[in-house]
Amino acid sequence: MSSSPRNDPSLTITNGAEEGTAWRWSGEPALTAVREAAVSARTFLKRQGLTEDDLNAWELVLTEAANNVVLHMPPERAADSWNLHLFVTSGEVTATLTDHSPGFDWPDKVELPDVDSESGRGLFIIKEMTDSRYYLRGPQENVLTLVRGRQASGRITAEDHTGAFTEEQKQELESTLDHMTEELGAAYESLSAIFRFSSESNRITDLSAFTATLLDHLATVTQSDCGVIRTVGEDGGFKTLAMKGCVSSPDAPDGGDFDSLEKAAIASREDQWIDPATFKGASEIMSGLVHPFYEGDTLMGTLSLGRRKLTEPMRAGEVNVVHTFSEFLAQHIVRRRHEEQALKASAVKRELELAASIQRSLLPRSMPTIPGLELSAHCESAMDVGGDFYGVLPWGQTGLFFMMADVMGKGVGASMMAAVTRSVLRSVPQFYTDPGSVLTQTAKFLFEDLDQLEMFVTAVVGTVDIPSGEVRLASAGHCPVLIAMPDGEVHEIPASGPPLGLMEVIEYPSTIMPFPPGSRMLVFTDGLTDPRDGRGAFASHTELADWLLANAAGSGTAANLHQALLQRLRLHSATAPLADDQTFLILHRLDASPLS
Amino acid sequence: MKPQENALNLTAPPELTANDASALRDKAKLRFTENFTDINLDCSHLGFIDSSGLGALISLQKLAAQRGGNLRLLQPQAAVIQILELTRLHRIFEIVPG
Repeated sequence: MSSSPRNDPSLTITNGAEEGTAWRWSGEPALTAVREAAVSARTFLKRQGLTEDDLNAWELVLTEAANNVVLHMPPERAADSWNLHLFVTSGEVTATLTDHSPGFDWPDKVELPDVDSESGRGLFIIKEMTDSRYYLRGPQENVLTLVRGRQASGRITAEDHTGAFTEEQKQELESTLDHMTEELGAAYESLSAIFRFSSESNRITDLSAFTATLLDHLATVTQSDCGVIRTVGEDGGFKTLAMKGCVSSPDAPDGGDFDSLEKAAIASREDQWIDPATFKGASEIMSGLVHPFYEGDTLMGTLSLGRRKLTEPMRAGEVNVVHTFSEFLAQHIVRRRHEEQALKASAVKRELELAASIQRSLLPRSMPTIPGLELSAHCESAMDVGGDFYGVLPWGQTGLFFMMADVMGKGVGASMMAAVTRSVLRSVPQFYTDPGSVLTQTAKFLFEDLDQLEMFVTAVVGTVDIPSGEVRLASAGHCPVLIAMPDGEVHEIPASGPPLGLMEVIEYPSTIMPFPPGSRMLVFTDGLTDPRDGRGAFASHTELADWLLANAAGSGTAANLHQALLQRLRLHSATAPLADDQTFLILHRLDASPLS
Repeated sequence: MKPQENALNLTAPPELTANDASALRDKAKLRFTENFTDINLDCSHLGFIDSSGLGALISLQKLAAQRGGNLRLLQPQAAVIQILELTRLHRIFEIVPG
């Protein structure tokens, strides 16, 4: 009798684009096998989290479909098995029934037979309980495919993957629903609307459509003919979410039907009642209420209902319904806002991550080794700024080319512009000869883009030549470069022109400075001196120059000076986030250089 | 519910399908002797019914109708009522809720 040894266990597979769980059953053409299949199918579907209604529907539909097969099977085919295959995704269940009976013609129109007919309801039941049906009748084999969408509450876990709706909120919502059911179950007739409504609540995507449905249901339950639901936006302004029955919204130019009552309800935090005296002739509303609703202590909105024919005040039970629904709505508004915020936050986070990764890619992975020269660099990104970068390249056999830039802008845009600036700077051939020409060329190339984006870039480029002991520098609006001489003097080399992006045609002269053994050069961005948030360790360039004067001589290596500078910067950085990127580059001309 | 002398009391099995519809039909025919006009079918244990089961209910209703009586379904479960409603048969049988 049982055919279970041939029946495969369920397994998760990918069918085309959709992942789902499949289940297979095979049995002999006997009525007992039909029940066995339907009951096993139900057990499998229950494990997939289908609702009780869905399970009942499938048990019946599969029984009907298989009965058809078994009852139409001629005796000579009694050994031919039939197969049932189920495929369950998060959204629907597909059943495929394959058999070897002679089959039948699927009628064009499936209708109920006469009430006293004892048969002929099977196909009608199948039609009513499935969303689509395909029947292929072949000479050897017939295939019936049935599809039915899953009810929402059976797939909460599959859909609710955003995590925006916490367990606590879920419980709260459920307890509200329980409460609502209990309360209304005792008193009210139009419960079916409410149950439908609560099952819909899991798949709400459009808050205003949801609110309109809610208002409709509420009007029915409370015998109202008009109403308005308004919410307080995050900006504090009121917005009409749903309106019904030729009532004018409280924000209408004439003040609207419920305007003064809404104000009173918000001011008093209490329901305001409408009686025939409330609206003196201006409106035909005879009774009703304006109810302000809250989530915790926060005003979420108002719900107003009016009745044109009934003069008696709303009954306590009706008012209860209004209150419960409002609470439910408030939770949905909060939930929706949480979801939106989570979405926004994740978009911002992705942008920041992208900006940070672009910026990281712009920084050199290692420092070139130049005999006689020691290098040490630091670049720390502020949370929402990603426009600093520096670069160092060998210059001929005996020198170094360096650059540092700060793009004025934020996020991915600034990072992208930093990448563009870096490649333009590196592609200008003149950098082998003269830093000033590099900036002049770069200004020309970048002007159009920067101008359009309303961004600008400060940049400093320079060359260090060991044999000649000379530094050449040019700066487009960048912070001064500080050079500490071995004799203890600190030179501050200012910008030689405005930032890139302000003028298309401009000559940046190069400044030539001596850079003898024992000298140290500090190239930095304004994150070190910008006191916007109290974190800039240095109030001015002069203070930084004084610090360098005091610390350069005794510091020893470039790495030591680097550490000392970081320590000084972090004195101020205990917990506050950086307001701007902090980038610096230290070049130390070694005393013991064989070339010096 | 008060016992009625003119009603045959039957109990529906937990499942009423193509498998067991004829058994119920046969039992009713056999026991619906002349002193009965109505049939009371206790449906409180009936958890599942298919179209063949509905067919059996109709044949019971016809039996009763021949004597000017009725088929009463006693305490049917929600899932069964749903199917009666779907097939509009709730208008034909007298349903006595639990």
